[in-house]
Amino acid sequence: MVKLWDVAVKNLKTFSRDRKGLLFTILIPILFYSIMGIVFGGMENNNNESYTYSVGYVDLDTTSAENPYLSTSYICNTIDEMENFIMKEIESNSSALEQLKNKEIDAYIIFPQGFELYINRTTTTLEKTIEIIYQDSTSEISRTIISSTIMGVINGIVNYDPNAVKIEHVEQTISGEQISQLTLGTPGYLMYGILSSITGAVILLTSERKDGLLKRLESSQITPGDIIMGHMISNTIIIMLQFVIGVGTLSLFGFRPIFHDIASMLFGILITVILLALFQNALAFVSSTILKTPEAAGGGIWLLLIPMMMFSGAFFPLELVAPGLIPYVGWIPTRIVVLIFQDLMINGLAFWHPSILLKFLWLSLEGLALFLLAVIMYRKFAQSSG
Amino acid sequence: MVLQNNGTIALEINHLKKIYPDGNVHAVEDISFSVKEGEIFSFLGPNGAGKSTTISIASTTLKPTAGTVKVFGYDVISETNKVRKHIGICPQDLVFYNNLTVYENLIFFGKMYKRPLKELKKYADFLISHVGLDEKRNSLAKKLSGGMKRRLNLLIALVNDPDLIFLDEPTAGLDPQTRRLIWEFLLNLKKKGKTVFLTTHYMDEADYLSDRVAIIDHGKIIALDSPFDLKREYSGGDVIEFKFHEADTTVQKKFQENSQQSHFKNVSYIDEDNLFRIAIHNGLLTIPDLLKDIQEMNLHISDMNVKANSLENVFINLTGRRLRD
Repeated sequence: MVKLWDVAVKNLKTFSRDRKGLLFTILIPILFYSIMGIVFGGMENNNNESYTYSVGYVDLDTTSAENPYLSTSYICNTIDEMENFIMKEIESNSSALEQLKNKEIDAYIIFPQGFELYINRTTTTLEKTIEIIYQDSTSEISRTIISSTIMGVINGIVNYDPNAVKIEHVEQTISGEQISQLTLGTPGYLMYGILSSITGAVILLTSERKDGLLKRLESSQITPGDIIMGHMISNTIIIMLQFVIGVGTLSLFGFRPIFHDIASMLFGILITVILLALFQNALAFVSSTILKTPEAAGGGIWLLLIPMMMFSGAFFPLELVAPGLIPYVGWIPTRIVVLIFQDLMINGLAFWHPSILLKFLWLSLEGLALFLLAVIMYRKFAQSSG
Repeated sequence: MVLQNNGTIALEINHLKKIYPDGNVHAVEDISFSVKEGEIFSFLGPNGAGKSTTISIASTTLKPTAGTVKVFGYDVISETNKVRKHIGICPQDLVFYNNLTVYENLIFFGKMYKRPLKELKKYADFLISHVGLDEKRNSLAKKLSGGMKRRLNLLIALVNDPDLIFLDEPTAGLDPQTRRLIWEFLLNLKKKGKTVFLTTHYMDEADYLSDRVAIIDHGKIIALDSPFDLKREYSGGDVIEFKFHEADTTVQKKFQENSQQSHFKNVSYIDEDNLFRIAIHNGLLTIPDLLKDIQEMNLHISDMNVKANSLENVFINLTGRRLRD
């Protein structure tokens, strides 16, 4: 235990005294955060063109229609078949409200009691009003698209005889915060900084191997497990440092997290970072074994990092630029981390939310698998040094 | 330290073989020898002879293909951790952390063994002062001069106070003053009962320091004895080297014609240097007569060098070539 801590302290000392390492690991990410902050800071999230709206509906109407085409289910199915819309039936108003708060849906509609009878013209009650509820963070453009589409479909189905039935709608909002483009992209930008630290870890390992340091350590009473775990501790601390620097820098440009509660968010981030460090160190050990020299490692690792950054949304949120990719990249550990960060810092979920716990599980399994591979490869790697 | 098992044998190597799988290189071919406790034992041989491979195996960082190696009775394969407790290694290359200070390097490597921190700190300071690095105690290792780095490299091997110290070319590339300092330091270790296993290219180093020397070539030990006995047995006396203005074939022919003369019975030609070497006893006394005979053979000397009886002569006589750096 003491030895692995000594290895970690040694790594942190050498890291803090290595100007090149500091440049790659700290200064370049700060530059990146600043550029992203300048470009996207204060910009509202206007992603309407390519976005698929998820709209819930609560049917409070207990009446049933004679004409199956003049029913809420037919109306909702028609909207659901439209491009860019997904409709979802929700049992109750409270459940719909919860889902809206959790950003599982973009809006929801409430069909009032007697709605079907009214549109079937079997009642003479006064005109009916449906409610459409949004988060107040939803942009005006999005609200207009959702409202006009829903009302257009309803009027199109019901009023083949124009103005025969008058249907109004009212919009309501629930409290929430305006999410800027910068805030939406921040989980990815933070991942860029964290991923860039793999370069430093790989260069450190390959240098130690090339210089014979791993072999010299192997001849002492330290175990490979101590060495690997020592590197894990120091890299976790470096990642935490990068995370703090990233959040601090991006906050200067307008990043404002939306969280369940501060303790839950911080604890969730801590667990995520530790699990990411497991994966990151394992990747560094495996890459060092394959790439062998610091020069090859420093350049070669980017062949892996660039696709990982792209597919994780490190440069631009995938939700905005490539939503079609989302179903295919969810298994990539760095993408999982970005999704957890999104849940914790944008969607306001608590760390014990089932979707986050599931992501923790996946991240752990993938990290452990790679870590085992790294341990197996390590002995050969260290012994072939010098 | 209380010695275990067989007590007086620090290192015992039996029928050691190492074949590297890539390229099927036979680095070490069936060597056997032992090193006594408190002895300075030198491994002398050219690059690629198998010296470093033997050290790597004995220091537990490389697995042998066949044979056994025991350190103070502990097997390097099955009792690795016990072996590591007793050994210190100074590799040929400078192996330490450039961004740590001298003191931090010693403490870090010392902590890799189970030494109490208080004792370790005291011992680190003792080592630093012993090799004249006091002023550089808190300097980063990368800022040290070449000689100081070499000293630090050596100190790291000693930081766990080992009983058997492996030193792979510890003075390579050092100035004479620093070499002498390290020699004295090693002799002090011997006085304290430590066992030193040394590989070196320097004949004078092996001659000065060693109780026994093993000459290794192409993975095989070709001679093993004390420097005195090796020289007595294999050197053939002093060596006088000549270069001539005449063509080498002409000189070779004339030496063959006069090979019955006592001075010219042991003439050898070193092709790589265009040198003629004549081995004779009591070289300094014989030189006037030898020069006279050469003059009578109508040969004209362009260069001459007298080499007193040395381990280099032993190596040349055993292998037919010089031991190059």
